[in-house]
Amino acid sequence: MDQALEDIKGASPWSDAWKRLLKNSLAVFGLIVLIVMILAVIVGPSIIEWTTGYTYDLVPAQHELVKAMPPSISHPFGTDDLGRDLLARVLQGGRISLMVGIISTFVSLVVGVSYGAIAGYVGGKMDNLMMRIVDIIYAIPYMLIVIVLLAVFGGPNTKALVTWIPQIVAGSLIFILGILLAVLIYRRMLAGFSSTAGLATQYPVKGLLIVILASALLGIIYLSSLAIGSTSLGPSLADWYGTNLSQGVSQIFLLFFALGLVSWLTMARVVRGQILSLKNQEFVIAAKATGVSPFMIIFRHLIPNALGPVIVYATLTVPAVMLTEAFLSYLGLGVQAPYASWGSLSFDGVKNLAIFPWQLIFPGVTMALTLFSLNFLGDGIRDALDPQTRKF
Amino acid sequence: MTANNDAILSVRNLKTYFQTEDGLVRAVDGISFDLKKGETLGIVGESGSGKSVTNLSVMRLIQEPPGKIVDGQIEFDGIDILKLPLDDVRKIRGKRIAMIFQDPMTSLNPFLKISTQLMEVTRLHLGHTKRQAYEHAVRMLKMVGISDAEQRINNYPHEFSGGMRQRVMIAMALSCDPELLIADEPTTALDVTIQAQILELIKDLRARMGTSVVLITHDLGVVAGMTDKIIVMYAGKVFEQAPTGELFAMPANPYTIGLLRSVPDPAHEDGTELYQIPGLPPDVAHMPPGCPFAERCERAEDICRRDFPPFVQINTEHHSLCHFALEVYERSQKEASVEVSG
Repeated sequence: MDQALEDIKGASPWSDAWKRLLKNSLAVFGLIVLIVMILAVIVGPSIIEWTTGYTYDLVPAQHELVKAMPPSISHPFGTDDLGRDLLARVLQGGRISLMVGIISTFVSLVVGVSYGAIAGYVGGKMDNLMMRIVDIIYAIPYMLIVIVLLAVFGGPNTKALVTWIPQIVAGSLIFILGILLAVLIYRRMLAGFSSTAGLATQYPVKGLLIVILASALLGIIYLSSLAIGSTSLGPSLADWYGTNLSQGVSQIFLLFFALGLVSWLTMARVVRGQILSLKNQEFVIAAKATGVSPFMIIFRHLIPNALGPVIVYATLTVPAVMLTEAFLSYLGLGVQAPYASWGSLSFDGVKNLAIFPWQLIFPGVTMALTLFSLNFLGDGIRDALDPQTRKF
Repeated sequence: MTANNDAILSVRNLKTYFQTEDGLVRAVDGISFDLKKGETLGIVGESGSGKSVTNLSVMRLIQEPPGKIVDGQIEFDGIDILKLPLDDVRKIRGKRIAMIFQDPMTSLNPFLKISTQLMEVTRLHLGHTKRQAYEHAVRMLKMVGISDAEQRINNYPHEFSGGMRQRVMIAMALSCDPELLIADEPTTALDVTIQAQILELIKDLRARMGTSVVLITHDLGVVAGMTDKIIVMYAGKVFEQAPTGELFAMPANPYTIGLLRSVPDPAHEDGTELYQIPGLPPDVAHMPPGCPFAERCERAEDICRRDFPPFVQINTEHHSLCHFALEVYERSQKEASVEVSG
């Protein structure tokens, strides 16, 4: 009886794919390594500090000329030039590297999926315009964007940027609301033109009221943001920033932002392609025929169906973003000392390769292992979701 | 309000065209019909004759571009659907007009439990809470004859067979108690025994809920037992329009006669080949000047290839698009009386 009930409990297409994934030993290996790595990175630094007292930026008071020590019992990964424990630094670096990878991928997921889905579903001129914007951003060398962003807003300039946050937020809000208002009026006009009744008679009060309210709201938001922003909020934000966040941390957030900014483009294209092929399927027409709104069709009916390739692409984006971060750190644009990432650790290690090889080997191998695992997992998920082997 | 106060759906001179690379395709070209409350209308025709486009037009589901409803009037319960803003059309879809699609394999979302899909409709249109919607969904599933509805509702579409999925689709279509149900070839993708079950179900539910039905099909056997009135479509035009009994007994259009002759009839089986209408339907993008059926018609004369045929009224409810409508009608009338007396 229990077995029968078990069978009747719905088996979603996802659980089928999960079963297939578990049969792929390489993907399972990748998954396990990743889980271990994430756990180690989260709890590792605290454990090390608790047991030995070493942290990523603890410079011991030593008197030897050469402070870099080879791997030993007390320092399993050895120490760096300043005598800091390399294991603690690698784990701390892993935090930042993984965070950069995951958060940037998440940003690219949210932005790319919504953007691509809307472009694909709406189609026509709107689609054309939206994808041309993507093409234009694509055409700018993304490394250049990231470098300029980090150079302009990084370091001491970040404080000035923070002062402007209220104005920037208000400005973009007004921009979005303005577009919404324009769309609303446009649609009401269209409705009016297509009917003999006309705009004025069809929505005599409602339409006018919406327009007036929206414009009033826009004005209030703008004026108040100017007043609050320039006098109190902006400077106090900057003060708070100056006392509470160190420069290294702000640099990291800037890095998330910059990498997320460029990594959503391909995601948008992938999703748009999926949506284009899905939107004429019968279940979408059926959903339309039951009166579901376009918004719900996109987010409830289309996106879950397009998610397979998106997940695959996302798991492959994480290592790509991590490599970019390593490259930027290598250039000195990424994470700032005393913070470290796997990229900046490798950079430091390369300088001393001939004398202290462990300084490159440990962060390098850790990073390589993680990237391999991510790629294995991505491939595994792709195979598990492959339409060739998928049977509905 | 029009003269037909008891008509739930009244279509006048509907023209839906598609702009393709091959030119302008007149998928539906000047169609008119009325459907009274509680009646069932059958729309019959070959593939590409414009049956589905007609009904997608009624729902305002024509993708634009490439399609466009260029002319006509569709009145549903006194509301002119073509002049309604889309937001208001959406309130009619699913609530007052519901649709069942041809292929139950693809018309359910494979990634959503059927409970989600069933509940979506009632939460949207009837303002149900989650709990109410769920209970309603279970009730609907039971009504369409799904046993174990309480358990099955949590399944995904791929765990249902074709016939079961079509039942789910019907449950979904009927959950807001619509006034009009459009069934677009609801049995084409199903095997014969399931076909009969599904048709019986639609018939039964129609009788119970008093819904008007538009049944699109290319299977004359299906419409014979279910409909009050039939429209025969060809190349985007209505070729014949008549009450069901009269159309089967006394067809007034050579095309209808061809269609009727090409139905396999076990009683007349004597080893001869099954009749089929020669040739293929015309390319709707490049329509010949005369009657679109002329090339394939046994009865065709020069006038058919030259002039477009008139829409002849034979009696109050019987119309036929043919130069020789009355002649054909008289002949089949004679044959019918011979059959009855013999």
